[in-house]
Order: sequence, then C-alpha cells, then structure tokens
Amino acid sequence: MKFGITNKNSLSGAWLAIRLFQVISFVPAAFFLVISGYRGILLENNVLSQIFSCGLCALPCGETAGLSALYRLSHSEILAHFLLLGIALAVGLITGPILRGSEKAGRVLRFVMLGVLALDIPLGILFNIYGYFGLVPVICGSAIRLGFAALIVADLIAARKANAADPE
Amino acid sequence: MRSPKFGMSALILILILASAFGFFFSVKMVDFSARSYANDYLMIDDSEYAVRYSNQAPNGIYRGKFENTAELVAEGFFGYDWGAALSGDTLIVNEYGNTSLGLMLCDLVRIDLNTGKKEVLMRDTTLRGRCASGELVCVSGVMMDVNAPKTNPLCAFFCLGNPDSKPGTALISYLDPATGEVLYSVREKEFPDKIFEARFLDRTLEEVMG
Repeated sequence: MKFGITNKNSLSGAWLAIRLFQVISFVPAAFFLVISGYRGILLENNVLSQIFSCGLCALPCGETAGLSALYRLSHSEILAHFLLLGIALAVGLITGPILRGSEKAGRVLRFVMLGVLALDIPLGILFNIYGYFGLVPVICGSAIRLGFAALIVADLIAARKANAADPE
Repeated sequence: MRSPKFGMSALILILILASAFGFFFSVKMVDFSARSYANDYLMIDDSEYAVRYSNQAPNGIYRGKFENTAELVAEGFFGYDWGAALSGDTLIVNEYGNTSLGLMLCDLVRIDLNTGKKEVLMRDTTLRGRCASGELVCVSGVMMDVNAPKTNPLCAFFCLGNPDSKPGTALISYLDPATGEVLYSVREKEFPDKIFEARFLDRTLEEVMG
C-alpha cells in the first residue's frame, strides 16, 4: 500500500477508506436480508444485532438519519436496504474516477471526506445522548471513522512530502 | 497492490440483484405461512357501527348490526382493545399497520362515519383509554411490545427519525374526545400497565395537571 494522491494504480488511504465505507454499508443491509427469512432474530439480543448497530453508527450520521426518516415515511425496510446498497455503489462509482483523475481533484476529494468525517464524529456521539444503540456501537463507529480520517491524512502528508522533495 | 477496477462495484451490484430475489421469496413465503382463521364482529358501544377483524372479508369499520348485511365504511386494521371514542358521526380509534418486514405500528386516527374519510390525528400514538374525567389518554414515542424493542435494533433505527421518541420515556397526551384536540401533554418515563392505569387513567385531568 502506498499513501499519496498521484499513485493512481496503487492502494491509497482514501481508496481504502471508501472501500471500508462500502463494506460497512453492507452490514445493516445484510441484517435486513437475514430477518426477512428468520424473524426470530429480532427477539434476542445477538451478535448480528450488535453488528447491525455498529454498522449503522459507523455510517455517516446524515445517511443514517435519512434512512431512518425514509423508513418512517415508507414503513419499508426493504427500501432502506436497497438505498443503503445504492449509496455504497454510488459512492464507489463517483469517487473512483476522481481518485484516478487529477491531483487537484484528488486533494479536494480528500479534504471533503475529512470535512464530512469532522462533522460525522461529533454528530455520532450526539446521537448517543438518546442512547438508541448503546455506547459500544458508538465507540466502534467513532474508532472506524477516526481510522478513515487517519488514512486520508496519511495520503495528504505523503503528497506534501512528495511535493517538497520534487516541486516540479 | 493494484487497484481493482471490477471489484467492489460489481460485488454491490451482485448483492443488489441477489437480495432482490432473496427478499421477494422470503417475504412472500412469510406472507403465505402466517395465516390463521379470524372472523370477529365487535359492536362499538350501542351504536350501529362495528369493528371487524377477519381474513374472510376486509378488516375495518362496518355499518350494520349483522355482519352478513353490514356495509364497509372504512377499511383498515383498527383496534378496539384499548377503547374507541364515538362522538356523533366521528370515531377516534387506533389503527395498526405493518412495515415491510413486520414491525407493528399504531396511529391514532379520526374517521368520519358518514363519508368513511380517515384522518391521522397523531402518528405512532396509541389510544390507551379514558381518564376519570372522560378525556382520551394517548401514548406517543413508544414502540409496541410485540416488536421486542429491547432486542430489536430496527426499533431503534425507526425511532431515530421521530422527535417524540426518546428511550425509556413516553409522551402522554390528553385529548378532547369530541374534537381530538390535545388538551395537555406530559413526558414521563415508561410505566408498566398497572402503574400507568393508576397514574393516568384512574385520575381526572385536573389531578394529573395538578
């Protein structure tokens, strides 16, 4: 793995962060899918439901709140499931060309991602004031998002070092 | 390490297609398997209206004393368990509904029995009965026990989008039975049924406010 912005064919921090985000988006979606076949899972506090909560809290809060509002409006978990997968797909498709594009666009994308994470982490902790999912998922979710931020910062630092060594 | 161009997006697309098939079959299978016989016809007070729970005919409010000749006024799964308020040609009653995977929800609705027009008075609210002075007592912001809210993360997810939902508390409202207007609201912690009855149903509105 190489950190930086211009290494287009290598695994960069931002690329990894986006892929992790997509994987996390699968977790609640998978839970929706499992309970459609086995409803008894709702009656017991199990590992899957904890993972579901972690997955939700690890997602950006805007997405979680939006999905919850949609769920409330439509009374359809299935719609929320497909929207989750759709968001994960769209994030990959939109950011892919940007990450492989110009250095300037790649830098802007990384700063946008950092901005979103900077808003997301305090909002995630604020959600916990109401205690819907408990402390453990919020700690896990915040740790994952801090990990994303560290990967992106590593990219930016590597790019700055490369620019300092070779200003051309 | 090379960045795969076909990796994650293709995987998500496969997941979307596979889950579409999965949902279609599993949800439909549950629909077909969860069947039992029901055909109840419960008159509302001394009126000519009744609530019908049936899988032989549409559920809803019917006009008429006899179920075979009764006329459907409003279709829906209405509750008569915790009371319904009939005032002239207006009925205030609980209406139950399900999400796509079976989370049970309850809205408080007002039905014009002449036209069959249904209006939601309060969303996610359950009518629990009348207090000693006759006002309707409603509870909002609480998931029904049948949803197993203590273990079911979907309940938490659902509550995130509702400003009235706060874990461990309920919004208790007193409504005018004639107009459906909210006369008094108070947020309290959730009580077991017996304590709820003694605290909110056995007392008058003035005693609760005092």
